[in-house]
Amino acid sequence: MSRRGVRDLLIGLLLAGVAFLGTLYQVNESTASAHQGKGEQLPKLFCPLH
Amino acid sequence: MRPVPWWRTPTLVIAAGCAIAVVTFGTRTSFGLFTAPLTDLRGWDRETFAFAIAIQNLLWGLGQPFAGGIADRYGAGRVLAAGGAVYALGVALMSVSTTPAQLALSGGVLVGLGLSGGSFTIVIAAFARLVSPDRRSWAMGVATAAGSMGQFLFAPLGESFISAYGPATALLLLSGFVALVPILAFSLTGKGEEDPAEAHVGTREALRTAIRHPSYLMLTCGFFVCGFHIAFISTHLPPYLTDLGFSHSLAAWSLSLIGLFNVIGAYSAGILGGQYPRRLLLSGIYLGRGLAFALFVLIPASTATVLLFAAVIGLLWLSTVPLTSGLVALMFGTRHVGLLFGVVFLSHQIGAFAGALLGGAIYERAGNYDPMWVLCIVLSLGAALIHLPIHERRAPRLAAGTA
Repeated sequence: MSRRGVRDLLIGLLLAGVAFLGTLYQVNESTASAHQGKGEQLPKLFCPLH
Repeated sequence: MRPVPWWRTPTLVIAAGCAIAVVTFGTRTSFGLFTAPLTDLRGWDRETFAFAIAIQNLLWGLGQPFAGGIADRYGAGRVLAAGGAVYALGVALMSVSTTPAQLALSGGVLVGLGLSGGSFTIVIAAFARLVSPDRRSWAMGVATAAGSMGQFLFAPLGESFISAYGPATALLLLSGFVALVPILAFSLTGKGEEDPAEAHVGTREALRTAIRHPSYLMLTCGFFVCGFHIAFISTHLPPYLTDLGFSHSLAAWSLSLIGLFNVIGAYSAGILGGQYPRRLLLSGIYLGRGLAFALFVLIPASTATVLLFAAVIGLLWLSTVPLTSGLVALMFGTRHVGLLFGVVFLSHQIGAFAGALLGGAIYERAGNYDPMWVLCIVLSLGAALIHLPIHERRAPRLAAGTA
């Protein structure tokens, strides 16, 4: 794999890693809010165009 | 040739553009967190907050072609700086708004106009000009993924600010982040190098040429479908799942999985767009959406099928953005890309409006979402077909020597 390919892959993994942690956080918050009786708080969906 | 200053190197340009996408979009998506605490604090009803956000979305969409046109003329950096400043002012004034009218002006008008000039779509236009053609598609993919990732960073941040300081101070703190946009925009100033293959035409002529160009119209129609799908899924997937008897936590997982796979899909589409014909990739994405919708409603639903559907739709979610914006830059050059992508973006917003609205209207009449799923599948197939005849080359009237 070329140097550029390795760099692209690493950047992609970084983005996916942060997004994965964010996913876990969101689900955790959503579940916690439901258990605490705060009502259903679904994660927001993420479109930069909205 | 003049040497490129250090703050204009491609790496810094891309990093600054991604940081702007993260901050502006992250702050925008965190507004949902303020609905309950801010309305409770001021004694408003939810409609008041929703009305301000509706004005914001409307002005954002309508203002985009104008902001793009100004960016084409005076440089994306200036528009990003001005837009970021207006956006930051709007968020700061939201924190001291005490009446519905003040909220509509600050959170609605100012933030909406600020988003037109200071956010993601202008960053895409800047990348089209400032990043070399061989890295352009990748850069657009990174910006799209970064924008999508912004909410993962700003949702916890907004939540902790609200918990620690209350909603008004939290908004003020967030406006401090948005105030960084004019500084970051410094790297995105200028118009990049002139493309010798591009004809010198005015804004009106470029717009006239574009709207007479069948490929541009097909691309614009395709992006309408994208907005339609996304708004329908965002708004109506959770109630659809609830109707099927699934739990709240599965709906939460589904939406989060869409967000996660969206980042991966947008980034991957940026890389693929630099290597393969974009029109075929777009056609494949819309066909994939259609198949995913059809299988989702035809196969008996289970936890596994719901999560698989969310992952697949996430991969196909915003992967259209780097490919669509890349095609606009390829067909019409970079001189008017802000304006022309702004118009395409407006069709996306209209599609989003229609998707969210029709989903509710059809549910009220039919008592279920079945007709809406059928409509989504038909639109997917239409969008898949409409991208195939797109001419993936410079529009003849905008090539040098033909204007």
